[in-house]
Formats: sequence, structure tokens, C-alpha cells
Amino acid sequence: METTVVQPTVNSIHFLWAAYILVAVANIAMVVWLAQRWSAVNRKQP
Amino acid sequence: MKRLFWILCGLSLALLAWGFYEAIYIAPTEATMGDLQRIFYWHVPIASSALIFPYVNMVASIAYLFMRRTNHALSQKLDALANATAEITVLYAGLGLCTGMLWGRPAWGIWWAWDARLSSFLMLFLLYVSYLLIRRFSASNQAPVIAAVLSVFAGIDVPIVFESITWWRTQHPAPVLRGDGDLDPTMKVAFLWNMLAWFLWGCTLVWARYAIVRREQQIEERAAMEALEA
Repeated sequence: METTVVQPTVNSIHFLWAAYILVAVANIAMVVWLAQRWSAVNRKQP
Repeated sequence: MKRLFWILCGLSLALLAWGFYEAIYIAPTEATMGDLQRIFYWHVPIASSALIFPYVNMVASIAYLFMRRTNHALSQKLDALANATAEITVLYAGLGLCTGMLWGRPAWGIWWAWDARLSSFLMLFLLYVSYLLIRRFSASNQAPVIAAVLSVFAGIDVPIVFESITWWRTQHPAPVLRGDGDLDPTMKVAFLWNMLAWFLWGCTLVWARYAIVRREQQIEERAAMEALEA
């Protein structure tokens, strides 16, 4: 049986990149928040 | 220990970069969904890791409940570990839900369905959000104890989430990595690299957060001692 390859629409590629960007931004935000907390606790307890 | 942390951090970042390369350039394009299916290499490893950290949280919480009166130093470490794993669970579960919705909209035509997997996973996310809210806003000094008890209930939800796609056949696809699932070997390799990368990255974040919570505990204890001496 022949398999039909459905090419993604432009919209669906946007969803793929939206997911990638969301994951990257969330993790970068988490790292920045952790770095800020680390600096804050070290200021209180050098 | 500090050196080991930076090795883990570097290793997980290198694996994330390699996993990205595998997912975008090596893994073949899926027959029916095309390139959209590549969300799989983000969505599944992150959502799967979100089912591992709750177990660490639950074990640490149970151990904390047993040891809080007998071994103060160890119980504080366990409490810090539970706090750190809960925060990373919220991050990963939230990302699992959002990437799933971004995949579901073009693939299913809907953002959300109240099916067994999605609903039980949302419940897991909300349970851990509640856990963090109790820790953050409870005025009682029993907040860590209440949160630890809640984490046991949250832990019970994890196997329900895991098995929901085999117990109930609803909107979410059946497992592709176990049972009757059939994943292309190249896709499987790309998936396993990403699984390892996201799990190790989660461990790095847990470690960093644990170190911060421990510092905060030490500051609080020192402040309490100074208040007693004054």
C-alpha cells in the first residue's frame, strides 16, 4: 500500500518553531532566575 | 562537588545541542505529519522526565516525614531536595502540556481534549503548583510537613498518568515506545539522545536549586540563632 506523504502547511511549521522557542525561553528564564537567587543568597551569606 | 556540577551542566548542554541536531537533521520526516512531528523530540522527553522527578520528590518527602524529629540536619537536606524537584516538575510538566497543545492544534485540530492522559497530567501539574503555593504562602511553620503529605498524593498520580494511554483509549496516541508501538530506529536514536539530554538537564536544574535552598535554610537558621542570642 502506498503511503501518502502530507507536506506540512506553513502554519504547522510555525507551531513546531513555537514549541522549540517556548522550551528554550522557559529554560533560559529558569537559569536566569536561579542565577539571581544564587547571587542573592551569597550576598546574605558570603 | 562544585566541579562535578559544572561537568554535569556542560555535559547536559552538549547533549541538548546534539539532541537538537539529531531531531532536526538526522531523524527522518514522519509520513503523515511531516516536520510537525519533530515536536515529539521535545514533548516526550520533557513530559517523561516530568514523571521521574515526582518520585524523587515523594521519596525525599516520605524520608523527611520520618526523620524530621530524629535527624534535623538530614531532614533539612531532604526537604531542600523535595522543594527543588517540585519546582523542576512544575517547569517540565508545564512545558509538556504547552508543547502538547502546540502539537495537538495542527495535528488534531484542537488545543485541548479532556482525555485521560491530558487530564491526569494537568492534575499532576496542578498538584505540584499547589505544593509550591503551600510552601511559599503558608504562614504555618508546618508548611514543609503539609507539602510533604501532599507530595505523597501527587506521587500516586504519576503511575495513573503513565498508564492512562493503555488503560483508556481516548484522544492521546497509544504508547509508541512500548507495547505495540513501532518507532523507526533512526527516530528512536534521536529520541533516546533527547531523553538523556532533558533528564540530565533537569538533574542540573535540581542540583542548582537544591544548593540555593540549602543556603537559604542556613541563612534562616543563623538568623534564628542570632535572634535567640540577642
